[in-house]
Amino acid sequence: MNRCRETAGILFKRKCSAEAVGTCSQCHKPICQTHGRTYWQSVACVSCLRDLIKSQPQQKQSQAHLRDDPYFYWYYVDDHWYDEPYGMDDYRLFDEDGGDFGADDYSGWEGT
Amino acid sequence: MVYALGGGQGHAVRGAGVAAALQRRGLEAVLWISPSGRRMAEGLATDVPTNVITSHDERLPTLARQRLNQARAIVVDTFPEGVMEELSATDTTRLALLRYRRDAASIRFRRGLGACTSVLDLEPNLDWLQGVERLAPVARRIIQGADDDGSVCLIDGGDTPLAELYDKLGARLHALGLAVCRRSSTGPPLTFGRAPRVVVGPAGYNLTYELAAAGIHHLAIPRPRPFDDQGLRARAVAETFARPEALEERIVDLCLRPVPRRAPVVRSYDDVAAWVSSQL
Repeated sequence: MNRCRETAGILFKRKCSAEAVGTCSQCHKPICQTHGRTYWQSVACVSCLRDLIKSQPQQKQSQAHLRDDPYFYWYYVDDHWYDEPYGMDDYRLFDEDGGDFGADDYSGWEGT
Repeated sequence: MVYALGGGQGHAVRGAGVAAALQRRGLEAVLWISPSGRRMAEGLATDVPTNVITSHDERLPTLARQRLNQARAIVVDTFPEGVMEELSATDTTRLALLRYRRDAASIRFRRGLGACTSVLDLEPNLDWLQGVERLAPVARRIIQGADDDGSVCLIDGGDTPLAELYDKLGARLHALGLAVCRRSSTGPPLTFGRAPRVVVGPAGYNLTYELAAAGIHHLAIPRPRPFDDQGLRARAVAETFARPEALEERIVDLCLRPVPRRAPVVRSYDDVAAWVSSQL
């Protein structure tokens, strides 16, 4: 039996290991009960519906039932939530080699 | 004489901790600290007289000759050779309390180590120094209450890039409904009435082991230091992340599904003072 291929979570992407019960009418990937949503007369996955709401904000009206769905909470409450929040300087803080500098320099005592 | 000179405030925290513990054992202690550590030391060891000296002050070797020779013993933090190698001019009993140093193989460090009467490794869990006595990491108690309050605390050390990341991270966590507070490790000594559930911060010696001793999850963003290696410590004791999104995810995970933290054994400054007393 097929496994669900949707990775959308309430907050973060995760692999889903649940059994698929159908396919998304938009992208045709297998989806499980948790990741399927009614979309007009068919079923669509969370990712496709999110993309739809994001690219066509007027769809928020016709898909108003998603307003109370935790998977869509941020798409209705805060349009900027899924924008890229962090910049290059932020990513640099997580660089592996960011910690190795001035190893032989005895002149700078700051932060020894 | 408790010698805790150095650029950061970590030396002052450890020096003050040891000096106060020695006083409690009835020994007279005088603390040597840098100006940057003065406020911190005075907040932690109120009864200990301090001698505030700039670490790269050219008069330091003269001062050391004049004053350190009068002491019964010098308890030296991190730099057994002295920050300007000025301790080589003294023949007073020298006891070294050492946390990790990235230049542990250098002649300078080895020469300082060889001149010490006794050496105690305060970070044996990093397995960086052989042939000396090992204790365990030491830390003061930073929590007054028992249970955590479920909050997230973002700690910076007056570090601008970190503060800018926290502006964004804090806003996002707050939007998710999490309780977020900001603290600085350069302010007065860090204490909490009730423990936060998660602390995000650098991985300096004191913060890392204070959090370990308190059982608070430490999500580390190691910062570069010339003599210390916060990355090494963070990987060994705390949790590290490859990108901010992964850090964010772990914070939310710990807030929604709290799990107890597993941390190494951490000892108190009274244990260090007991060792110092036994060497005199």
